Amino acid sequence: MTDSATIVSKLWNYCNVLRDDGVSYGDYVEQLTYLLFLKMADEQTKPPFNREAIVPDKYNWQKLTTLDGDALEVQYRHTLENLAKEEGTLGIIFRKSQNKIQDPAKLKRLITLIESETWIGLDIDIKGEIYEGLLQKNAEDTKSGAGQYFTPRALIKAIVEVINPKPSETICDPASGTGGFLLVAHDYISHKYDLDIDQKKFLKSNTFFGNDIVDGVVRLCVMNLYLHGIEANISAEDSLVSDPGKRYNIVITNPPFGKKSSITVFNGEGKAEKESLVYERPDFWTTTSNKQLNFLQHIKTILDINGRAAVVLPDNVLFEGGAGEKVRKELLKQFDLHTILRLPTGIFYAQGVKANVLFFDKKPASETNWTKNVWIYDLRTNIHFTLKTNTLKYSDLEDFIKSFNSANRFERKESERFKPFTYEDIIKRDKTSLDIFWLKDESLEDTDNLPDPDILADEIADSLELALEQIREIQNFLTT
Amino acid sequence: MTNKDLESLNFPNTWIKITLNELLELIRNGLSRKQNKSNIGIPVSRIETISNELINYEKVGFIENLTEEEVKKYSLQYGDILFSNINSDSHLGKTAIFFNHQPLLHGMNLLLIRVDKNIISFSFLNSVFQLYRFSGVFISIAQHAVNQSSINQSKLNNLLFPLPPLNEQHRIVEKIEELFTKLDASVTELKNVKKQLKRYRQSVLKSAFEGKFDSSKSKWNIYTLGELILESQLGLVRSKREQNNLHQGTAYIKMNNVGMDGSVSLNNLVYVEVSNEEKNKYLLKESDILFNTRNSLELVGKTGIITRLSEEIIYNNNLMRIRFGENINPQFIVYQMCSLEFRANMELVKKSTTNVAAIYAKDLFPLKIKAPSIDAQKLIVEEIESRLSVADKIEEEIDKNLKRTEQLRQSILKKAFEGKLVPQDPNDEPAEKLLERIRKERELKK
Repeated sequence: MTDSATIVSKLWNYCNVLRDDGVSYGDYVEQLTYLLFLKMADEQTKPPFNREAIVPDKYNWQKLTTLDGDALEVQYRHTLENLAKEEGTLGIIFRKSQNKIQDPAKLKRLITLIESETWIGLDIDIKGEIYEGLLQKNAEDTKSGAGQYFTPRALIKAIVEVINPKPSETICDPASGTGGFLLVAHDYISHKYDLDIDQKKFLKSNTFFGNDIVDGVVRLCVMNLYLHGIEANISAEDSLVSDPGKRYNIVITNPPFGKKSSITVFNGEGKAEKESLVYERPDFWTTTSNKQLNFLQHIKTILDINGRAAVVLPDNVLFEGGAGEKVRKELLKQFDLHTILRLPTGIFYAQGVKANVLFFDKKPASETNWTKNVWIYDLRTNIHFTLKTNTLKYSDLEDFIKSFNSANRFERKESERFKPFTYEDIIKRDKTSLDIFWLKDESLEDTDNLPDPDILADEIADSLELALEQIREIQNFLTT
Repeated sequence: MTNKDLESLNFPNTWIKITLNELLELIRNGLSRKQNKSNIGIPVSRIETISNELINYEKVGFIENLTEEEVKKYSLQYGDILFSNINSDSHLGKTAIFFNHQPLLHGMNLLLIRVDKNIISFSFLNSVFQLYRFSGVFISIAQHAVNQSSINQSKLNNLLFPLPPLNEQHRIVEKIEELFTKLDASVTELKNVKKQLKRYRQSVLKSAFEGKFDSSKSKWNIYTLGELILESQLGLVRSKREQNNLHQGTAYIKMNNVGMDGSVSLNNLVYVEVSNEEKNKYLLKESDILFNTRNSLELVGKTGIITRLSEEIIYNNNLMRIRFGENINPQFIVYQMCSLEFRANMELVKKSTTNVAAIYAKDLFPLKIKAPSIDAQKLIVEEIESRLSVADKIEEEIDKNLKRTEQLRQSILKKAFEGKLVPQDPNDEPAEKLLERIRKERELKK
């Protein structure tokens, strides 16, 4: 069986059985990760590979397949605990791992299900696809909040296409999630270029860097890349804490959206306290508790001179006063912020998100402003997407890719949806706002084509959600 | 809030209370020269140049033949605050900061306030002005004439202001701006929702009369409105003089009680004396439709339905009462008459003079109405109502919350000027020390 969709659905169906036992989608994918990894490590020790085992014998796949009942549960638990202490990929994958499948009979069935397939023999693309399929399913489970880590693949492809990464360039995603941006960039380079051995080696081991603050997500990311044959350098830490020192040719990322502008910490008496996350960094232009602004400032630091960045950011980064204005002014002056793609609503799992992709290049120090024109592409006005019925497709982004003209972006053509705004014009706008629209919104104007109630209801929900989001942020600040 | 309240405000101990004149480099009236609006000469500020706390360059005047000296003296500088000291009570104390996007001269009827940048940030002072304006400080010190009030310059100069350390002022301003832009974005979205709801209501009606809510699959027939009407009658004439709002006589519905959305409001009813015979003839009952036959071009043709009666009510002669036969659900017809499609057809039969437009029965009755069976009509009305009632509720909530956002704005400002919005930093030079230093420097310059 090589049809990846069939395997995904097989594995996924079994998840529904476990759901009745209170195992969430996220937990399930995590358990699969552990078991799949053990299985493949086991396959590598056999012919035709005959490699040295990387998993200690005491905790290998064979041990699990021979056991039953409580003995299986105990063995699995010990396996997780002990492998977490190992170094390298093994340690990252098993860090803080726990068994979430309490019923040994169900654990046994899952092991049998995995045992019946030869995973290592599957083509790399197919293995990766299976795992990606599971991650996507997990992302669709919005209740678990997993969706916030998931950027639509069509959008990632378009971003990578216009950023146009080349062999021997380093690429970093400081909010890597499950590794979507890095994977697509890997695909792009390996398909577009005929790589020599050195370039291949560089692509496999020295090209990709990432970070994510959530342990579990880093695990999924490392596994995802591992299954695609990439040895990525992914670390599980808060990117924003300090300047890591390393610089990259390309930064592509979708930092997590809003809502978590503060974290909950527990004081000595065990009472929950809310604490604003403020990062004091000498390399930042300003100190703020706004997470997206901090990510933007982090990216400007880790980008190499003449490096290129594409960052997905919510609207408030474009209009917010105070710290936001300061960051926009500096970005326009010290960097070449050449393009903004205004994304449509209904493409993210988080509801009511209005987002943009900011494209900017890092430049050497200069007296004058590097940004001359900001080209804005409006993919939002009068465009309606939903997650289920009318999803964003790559073809929806083709006109943007063409308009961006990455081969020679100084020869762009103005169009109905694509317009340049000069530095001088933007600087004069109230709070240097980049929140710019020029198209007439048909859902608000009296035209002959009145949209259907469901489309309008979607838009109302989005607007209310957005209004709510802003108020929540204010509330969050006032109550800390 | 009055000046007395300001005296008793409690601040952190690194702050001081101080009169405005100590904070300023300059405060004065503008250039009083004849202005033109035909773009001849140099742009100059006018009262209406300040709108929404910004300078509106589309609303400036122009002055010709100025000397170079005058231009130099009255040119606004970066960070100057324009203050509306003569205006109606609700606009009194409006301000805008000049950011030098385009050159502008300072004209009359606005005060120019130029801060001493060594002591106070102009954005900080401007935010305090905003709080003072909304909490009534300016009205409390103004002189009031019939249509406008004015603030005497010396009274303004002696008004008390909170003065935090300079660094803290910047932190406060930055935080206020951050919060206010979020608030503005929220208000914009809420206002947007109000527009979207209008469209949503129209879209629901459109879908309804395209048969999309009809699960019965019954056949729709096309009638003329006239065919369906059992009885129609224009209302009773009573002049404005004969109407009272003292509950004397019988309640009398007028065209402004009929909404654009098919409703009839029973608020603000007036009363008229009528004979028993008249009363019987014009009395309304539930499910009667009222059609507005004469009004402005835009409003004529409004149609509403009486859903409940609180008392005996009759109606005015600009309204036509319409009753239908048994096979017609009147609410179904009203919704249809409120739909964009029906309105577009009605547009074609409006007769208008310069002041008033009319729709006559002979033109209205031939217009087309689509209807399925009476049972299906009833179900469709229910489908429409379940959707529209949700829209109404949302709109009500939005209106309430738009008011709340204004309150929130003021309360954020208040918190800011009590020193509670951002933390104090012990390394900041206390305001008193700063002021002492600046005073000494001023002495030396003299």
